[in-house]
Amino acid sequence: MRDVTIAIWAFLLASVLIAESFAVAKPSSLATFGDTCSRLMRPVSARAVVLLGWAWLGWHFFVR
Amino acid sequence: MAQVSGPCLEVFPLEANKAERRLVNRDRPSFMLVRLRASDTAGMYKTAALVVVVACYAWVASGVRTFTAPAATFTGIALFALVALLFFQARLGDRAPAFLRRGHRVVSLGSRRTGLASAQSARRGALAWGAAFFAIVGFELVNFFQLPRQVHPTLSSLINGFTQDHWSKALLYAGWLVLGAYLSRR
Repeated sequence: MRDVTIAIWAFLLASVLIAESFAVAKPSSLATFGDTCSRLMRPVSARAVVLLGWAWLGWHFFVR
Repeated sequence: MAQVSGPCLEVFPLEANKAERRLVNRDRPSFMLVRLRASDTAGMYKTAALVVVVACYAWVASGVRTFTAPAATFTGIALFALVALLFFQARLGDRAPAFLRRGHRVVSLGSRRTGLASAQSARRGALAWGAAFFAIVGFELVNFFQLPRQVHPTLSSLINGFTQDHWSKALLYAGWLVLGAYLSRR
């Protein structure tokens, strides 16, 4: 069961990498993660939420 | 429509022909295309210095144990630096130095087509990345509420395995710092 779970995590990660590679190669077909973030972070509130998420990530893994 | 970001790096005159040969179609994106312009070498040195500073900071910060005051201090300093960066971005606007401004890239690798995607690709991007986000968060929650953790590892527990070794933890820490800088300039 652990192997299945790890395989699913690997699949999700690989999907993200493949999608980003495709988006970089063909930006007219699919916006890259960076471009999507730019659009998402236009409103100040959304920008704050994303950056708070980043802060939480660091605090969770490196402090607590 | 293709847009060129400035300042992207352009080739030294000596290598102009070699780089130009690579550009079969100027509108076609190309992977890992790095071209150097003499006037941008100062920017390159600044970027290299920044990389060294980030690497050293990540090495030192990842050397302390979690649940300690030094760990909180180092991470707190990084958070404060981000807040300061955001403050100066908002305060200075277009007058901010190039490396502080939003949407600005000192080094441009890969596609020459920069700037925001068309509306259609943006919509597809929002759907695709949104689906990826919810898939990852959803699977994380599914595993979080199941036990034992060994059988149902969450992403957090898997990543925790990498934080046991100093080198891998430093790499993760540097990645976190770079992600913060990347997000702050979007």
